[in-house]
Amino acid sequence: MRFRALPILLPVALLASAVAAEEPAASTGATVLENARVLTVSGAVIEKGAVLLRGGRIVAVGETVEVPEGARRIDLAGRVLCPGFIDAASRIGLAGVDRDRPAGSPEASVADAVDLRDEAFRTALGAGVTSVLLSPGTGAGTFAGRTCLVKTRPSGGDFAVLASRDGPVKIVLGQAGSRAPSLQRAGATAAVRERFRRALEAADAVEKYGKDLTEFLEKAATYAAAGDAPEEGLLPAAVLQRLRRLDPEAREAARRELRRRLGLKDPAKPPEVPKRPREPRTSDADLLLQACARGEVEVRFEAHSIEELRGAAALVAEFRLRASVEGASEAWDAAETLRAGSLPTVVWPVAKPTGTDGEDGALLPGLLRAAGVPVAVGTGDVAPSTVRHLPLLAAHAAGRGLDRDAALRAITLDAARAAGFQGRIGSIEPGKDADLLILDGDPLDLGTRVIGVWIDGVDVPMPPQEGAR
Amino acid sequence: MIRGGAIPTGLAAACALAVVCAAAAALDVALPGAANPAAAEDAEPARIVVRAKRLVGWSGVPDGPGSVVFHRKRFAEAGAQVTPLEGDRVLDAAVVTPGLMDAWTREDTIDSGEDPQPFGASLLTEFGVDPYNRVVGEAGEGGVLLRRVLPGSSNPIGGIPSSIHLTAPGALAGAASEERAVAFSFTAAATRRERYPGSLAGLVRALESAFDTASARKGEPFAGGDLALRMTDADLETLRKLAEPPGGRAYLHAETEAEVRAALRLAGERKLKAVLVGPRCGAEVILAAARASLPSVKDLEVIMALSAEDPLVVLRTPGLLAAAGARVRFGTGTHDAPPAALRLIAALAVRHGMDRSAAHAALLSPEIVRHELAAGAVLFDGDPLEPATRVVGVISGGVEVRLRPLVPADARKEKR
Repeated sequence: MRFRALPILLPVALLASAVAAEEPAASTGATVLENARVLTVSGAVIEKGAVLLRGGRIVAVGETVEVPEGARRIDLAGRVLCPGFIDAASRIGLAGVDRDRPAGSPEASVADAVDLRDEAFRTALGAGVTSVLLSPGTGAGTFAGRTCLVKTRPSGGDFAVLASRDGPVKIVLGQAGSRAPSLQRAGATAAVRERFRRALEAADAVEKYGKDLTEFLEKAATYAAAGDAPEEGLLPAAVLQRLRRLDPEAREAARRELRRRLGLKDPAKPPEVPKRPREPRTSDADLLLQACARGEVEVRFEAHSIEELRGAAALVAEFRLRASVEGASEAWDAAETLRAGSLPTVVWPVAKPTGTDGEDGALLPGLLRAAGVPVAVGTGDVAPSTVRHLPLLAAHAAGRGLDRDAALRAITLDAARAAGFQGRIGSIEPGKDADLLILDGDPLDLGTRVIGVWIDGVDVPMPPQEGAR
Repeated sequence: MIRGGAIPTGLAAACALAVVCAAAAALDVALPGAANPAAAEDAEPARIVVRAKRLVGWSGVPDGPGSVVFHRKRFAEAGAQVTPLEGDRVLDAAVVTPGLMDAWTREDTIDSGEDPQPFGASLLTEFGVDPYNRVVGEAGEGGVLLRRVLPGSSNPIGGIPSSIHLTAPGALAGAASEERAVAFSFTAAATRRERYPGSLAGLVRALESAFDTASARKGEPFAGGDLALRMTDADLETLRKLAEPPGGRAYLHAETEAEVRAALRLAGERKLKAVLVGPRCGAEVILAAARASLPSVKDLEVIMALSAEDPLVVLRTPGLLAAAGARVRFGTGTHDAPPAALRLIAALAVRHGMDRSAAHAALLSPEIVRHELAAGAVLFDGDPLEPATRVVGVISGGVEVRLRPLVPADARKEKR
């Protein structure tokens, strides 16, 4: 049936192909990491606890866990166990992606463009960063493509594996340090609004097409039954065969009888030929944006100025989007906007002035968190290798007003939330990916070293340590 | 224990801004009895005693528990045995250090990049300091009580560096030119190719000619080497004094290997005290150049500005240089870096191998406690090298600075 070929089902096919390309969890055996100071992040610190891993996932966490028979047991001798760090806005491996693409395309998949052999993934691993959300920079256009989640677990000759192609759709409303007039900045928001409206109109057109086609088929069936069927395929074969077996006179008589029974005004006259509705064209981009508007796919806005941030909040409200923000470098007066819009925000506090008045950018995380905005610390537009300092930058934000617990969350659970993967990574909880760090001290202390890294339940060999005490 | 006593610095006389700033300072500091200044003048002012679990960076005082005392806006004493007296204002902190020093800023100086006289040895950076710059105001709150101002790097000879001492937020205790010191830029050849078509070699020849002319070694007027540049009599006199034995301090902005070699060779040949500024070519190159040109690596001072984005070869430089015996200082290197960036630079250096005690030495300015107007100390809730550590108090100009909260109470408020 033609009806089954409607493009509304395309996302299922896309989803199926996408899942097939993602790297499965590599570990299946049970492992218990015990005698550790467990920083769950999502709950209380367990001063002397254990974590059971199996099938690449965390199975149990507590002061004690039930140890399955044959499980590998590792005594951590009181060391710190915490979730793997997450860079919720990274450009690693995307050197070839950011080009001059003014409009961009929302359905372009970053996963198809990333260079998984970028050395910066190894650098990230050395710093304890186990996941990065790859989010193209502003050069990739307003609709910069669909972000993806990558884990820094080496595989084959690559330094990382693709964990999910289904990251938020990146939309760029502005870039850091832009001195564009506010009306021009507002123009970017207007363009995005227009594009969403077109996508939703396309959805409306598909819905209308479905109704029109149903109506057409009903009419066509009536017409066919009553006479010159324009769509022979629409009539049951048995009816067609019966009609064809009749001689022309008998067939005409049969038609007249059918027309009479159908209540047509003039049984001698064939019914009006119904016009087949035209199938609307729906692009993959439309389908993706429609999924965003249904809340099935998240949106990641890059926005810096207050105009851009308010534009993002307005789009979230108008199209009921689930969204996060990255950049926010001039968000000094936009904390309430971000909070009210439920917009987790990724900033990169590299101790440079970021506001038009030269404010210290490292103060922003503390200010936003105090206003109730979940804050993540990422590397964003700074050099990708800066990921080696992700915990240090979080600590620096703590020194500039961000609560210390919030600073740890900024590179773990709140980062996962901003990336849209809080159900999978960011804390030590049953059901989540077994991405864990073994540390010899507090995660935010300068001298703390990463002793071991587990990603998807696999004990990953560490690259040489860069830092020193 | 060490005891204080004002050391005349001569800075007050040099500071044209001090009077202007004093009023602002008086408004912004929490002086005992500040609500009634007249009464405060009459009464014996209370001492400020800062008790610390750890004193760090105080000359002659071992790293450990102790107290620091300020009295009558001056540093009085520091040591493990100091005990508060009745009536003292007592403050507690985990760590107390002398004021921090930003050894390389360019804030509000005349950036001589557009100056028609690119060999302006006598240009005074102190007159480029703007007391209303917000960074100046914020520096005190970040514990940065001393900033050295260098000219921009667009001209081969940028001028005379100066130091600014900060007191309360928004106030300067003084700005003073450094005696027998001149800033040179070896990066100018790379950044202004249109002016220096002969590149680094041509620039070096011009500098050699300038020194020769100044010292009258060749008895001919300065012709700017191949570049047909001019110098005023004041410029030549400044260079002549700089080169008089013992040589003055030459601040040498040089980034690449070739620039660093050329800079240190010049300093060595002219017997100047070499202060290398902002090198980015790695410690091995710097040390090789120093060994080739200076009597000893210990004669070398290096000012480093680091960023979290820097490559490892740069991030490791401070630690390797300090371990080799060079004197390392930290500077933010820009006119608009927030004061907190200075401690982040130190943290990056430690993270990449610098010994903590060397990093403390590179960050702190023990001499500032004896400054006539800007005696100061910084109170921390932990090791100042830890990025998560916060400044919890500042003594500046001998009085307690009122710190603004890092996070305002009205964080949700939107102005527009």
